[in-house]
Amino acid sequence: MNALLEIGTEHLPSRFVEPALKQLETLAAQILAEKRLEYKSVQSFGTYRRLVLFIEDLAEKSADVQKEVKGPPAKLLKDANGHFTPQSAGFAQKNGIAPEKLCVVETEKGPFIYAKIKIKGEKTPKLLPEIFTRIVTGLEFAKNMVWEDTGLRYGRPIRSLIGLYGDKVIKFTVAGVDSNRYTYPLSSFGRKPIKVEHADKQYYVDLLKNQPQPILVLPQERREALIKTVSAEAAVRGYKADLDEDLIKETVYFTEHPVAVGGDFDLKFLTLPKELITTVLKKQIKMFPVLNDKGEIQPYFIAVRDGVSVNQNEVRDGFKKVMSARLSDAVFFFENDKKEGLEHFQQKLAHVLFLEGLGSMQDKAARTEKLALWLCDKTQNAALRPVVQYAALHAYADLTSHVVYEFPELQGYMGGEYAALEGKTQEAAAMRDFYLPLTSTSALPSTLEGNLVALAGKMDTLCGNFLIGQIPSGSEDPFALRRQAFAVVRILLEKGLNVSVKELVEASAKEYPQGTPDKGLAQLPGFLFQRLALVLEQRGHTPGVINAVTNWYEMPLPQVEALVSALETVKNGEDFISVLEPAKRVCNILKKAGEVNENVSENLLDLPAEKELYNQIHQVDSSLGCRVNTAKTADDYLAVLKTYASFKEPLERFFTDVMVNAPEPAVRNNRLALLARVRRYLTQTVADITKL
Amino acid sequence: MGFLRLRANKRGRFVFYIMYLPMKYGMNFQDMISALNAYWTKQGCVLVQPYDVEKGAGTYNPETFFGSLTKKPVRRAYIEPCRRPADGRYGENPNRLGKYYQYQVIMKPAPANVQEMYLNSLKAIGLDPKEHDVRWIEDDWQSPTLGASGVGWEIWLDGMEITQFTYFQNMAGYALNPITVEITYGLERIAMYCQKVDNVFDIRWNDDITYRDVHWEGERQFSHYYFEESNVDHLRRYIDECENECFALCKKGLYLPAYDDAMKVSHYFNMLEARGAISVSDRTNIITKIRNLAKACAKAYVQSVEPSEEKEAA
Repeated sequence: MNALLEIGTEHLPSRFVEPALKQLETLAAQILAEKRLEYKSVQSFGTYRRLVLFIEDLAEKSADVQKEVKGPPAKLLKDANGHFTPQSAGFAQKNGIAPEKLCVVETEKGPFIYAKIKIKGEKTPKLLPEIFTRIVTGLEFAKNMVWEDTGLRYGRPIRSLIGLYGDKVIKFTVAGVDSNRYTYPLSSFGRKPIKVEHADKQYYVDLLKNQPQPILVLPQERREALIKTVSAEAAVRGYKADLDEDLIKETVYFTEHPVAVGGDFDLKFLTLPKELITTVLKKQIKMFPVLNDKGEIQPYFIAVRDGVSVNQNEVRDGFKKVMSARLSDAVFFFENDKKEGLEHFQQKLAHVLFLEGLGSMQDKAARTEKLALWLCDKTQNAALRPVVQYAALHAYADLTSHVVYEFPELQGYMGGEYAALEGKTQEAAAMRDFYLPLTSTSALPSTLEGNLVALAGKMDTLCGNFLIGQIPSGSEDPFALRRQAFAVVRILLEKGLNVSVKELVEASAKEYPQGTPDKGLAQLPGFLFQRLALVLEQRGHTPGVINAVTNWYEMPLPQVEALVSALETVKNGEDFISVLEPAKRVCNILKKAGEVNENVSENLLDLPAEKELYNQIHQVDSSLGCRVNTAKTADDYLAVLKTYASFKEPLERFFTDVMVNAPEPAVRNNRLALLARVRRYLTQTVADITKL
Repeated sequence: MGFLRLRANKRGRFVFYIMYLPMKYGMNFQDMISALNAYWTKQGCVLVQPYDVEKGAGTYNPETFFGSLTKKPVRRAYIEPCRRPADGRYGENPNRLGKYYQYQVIMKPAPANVQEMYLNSLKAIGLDPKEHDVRWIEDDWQSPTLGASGVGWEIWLDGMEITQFTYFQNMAGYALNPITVEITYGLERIAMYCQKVDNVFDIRWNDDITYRDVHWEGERQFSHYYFEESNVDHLRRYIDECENECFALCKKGLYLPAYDDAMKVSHYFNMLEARGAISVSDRTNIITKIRNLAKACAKAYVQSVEPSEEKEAA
């Protein structure tokens, strides 16, 4: 039989719904497993007013189980007189069996007393009240509230509960609400109960869909309906809707039956920058913008109502009024900003603090400018200097503009718009992209100069935060430093910039005034390394290979990646694998030996195997020394790594023929020194192969 | 709207003509208030009248402030004039007022069907939720001056914010139990929407006179006063005097007059802001000051009403 749980709530914030649905499934799976209840599948779906869990083919009783509990050692089973000892008797009682039923089992640590207990399965209807209660109360929301006497903390108040197993109601109570078999209509259509006869998914979905005011309880269905209704409204006007993914997602979870209502707005608003209009529409009033084939914004909007489709004209007028008011505000801010100009905003940055004790945003802009120029020189892009200089110096200026104050998400973009108004086209492009990439996988700035400026700004932010010890830990990352570090690594790597992380960190730190207290800059390389490992993984490299690269910090990242590729190529080769064992053995011997120098005296080498190994090192050292230093491409590194395999035989012979721990200290130390040379070669030259 | 009428023309013949009258949409302002009063009376609310000390929002009314603090059940409805000196525009802006009305409902404990009650109240003022888009947008409320916070929504009617709907969680630093629900209607906005007027002063107060007739002169004069005439030194002195008196009264258990002082400090603070006489650090200081006054009043109240319930405010 199937089971159905519906949590009827007041309107959950849109952003709470998807995480709650996910949790429903995981919680259910976890609790059902704990209760030893078999089922075919658990599925969750719902809206912002009803969270639904459907359990398909839930077993009618939980499985019987045999449990073995380990007790005291076997010698404590009976005393000399053949009576059970207090220990064994107590153990038996604790597990609810007679002492005679105890048995002795051989274990690795000797014989022990075991209690074999049989736990009988229980009938599902008896288990479900607790299971449903735990699932309902187990949900966690981004923000919780209290609304009734039991003090349950939840996303929004629970107002109804359905618990069904087959056609039977499972009785349970959460937050003063008793479960039954009734659900309720759309928010604006009263509270006339809708009776749910039995726990069947398709039946339940259809039941709600066939109400006089339909409810689309499956998110996917709602999403399709939303796209359809919005697109149709746009098509009526001969255009396309801007189906922004975030807005679609948000709308899917704040409607139960999306119905579009489209309208137009005054042409005069089209003088505003496109992103400003779409931000007002999408973010402030949650409407879809309308675009023509070229992606240009048209003077229309499409709003979405929940379920209701009567009285469209009056509702349209209402939306239109609200949207004109909001766009008029935007015009007011934009016109004021144009009058003041970018230079003025830049000056105002002097009054905006960056971080505690690290000066103003104007200081930050100056540091970013210098670092960006340094990057130009360092990457042989001196021609970009003028553009980079202007863009970096003004990148933060729009933070003091009215538009960005009202619409923080337009930072960067508005700066670009204002720069473009001053005729700085190339600079404008770089400034618009200043905050890119917005996520760990989204697009980088489109131009090279944009990347250099963005890189400088992010690096300065990281440096500043680490200097004052504001370092992300656990889930705490209020300044999104992880994302910024991600961006730094990605720009360095994807743009092939010939700068090592070390040089960059040092150049950035140098821009902070002397005497700035340092509470944690030393942690920055490690922090960046973690992002580097993740980015490499994202780019298809084998996880963990990066750990073998010894000198990542001082190498430009494209080279690090080349080395990682080379390591991936060789690491599964047979001769390479065969050298790993001896290499690890070398390391272990040296670890036990403690501190060892690397000065090998040739005249103390007497066995052929020793000499052979010594010659081997000499040979690779002299032939490859310069190659290691100039290696840049994966092929270069491959050539170096291939020499590693040549150590296999000399090492094997060495271990067979030579006793490292020779009685004479001088010989012993000489042999250890020889091994130390080998170790350095195999673990430090380019990579530490023992970490593969 | 128009209708046919018959009248004599110059030549003495009767002709039909269409007489146009301005269409009158929606309820007038005072009918709307009466309708809300009638509706919430039916829901068991006591109609208390506005409180006679200046305040920035209906939440400051002692009925709400003290009402939310104890175990006693409370249902109140009232209209509350609110003053926001900095929002005044000399009566020249169609959407901004230095003094306006909130309609406030508080209920404790929050009834399980409170959302439905609210939706029905819209029907009572001629807005059928079945014919409009009523959207519940997440909006958690907090008042740093009252040391209060709540969870709830702003309610949009066809895209326009018309109501704040909040389950109080904390008041004056106390975690509340039972929970009070507060419904605050923005009356002018709703009236503008129902009456289809674009200027707040065009709202019909009754069928003969408008909001302009009742309040325009007040808007003009008070804007002038708040922005140009109010005396900053006096205001600062009032704040100090009220603060001292408030603490002194609290010590004597006279929490009601003490709370008047707290409200006055809050209003003087708003007046100073309108004068642009407050720096950033100043602002934080005065807000903390008001919060401490509110806490002192709350503590005195809880001590006297439910001594056993008294617990140290967070």
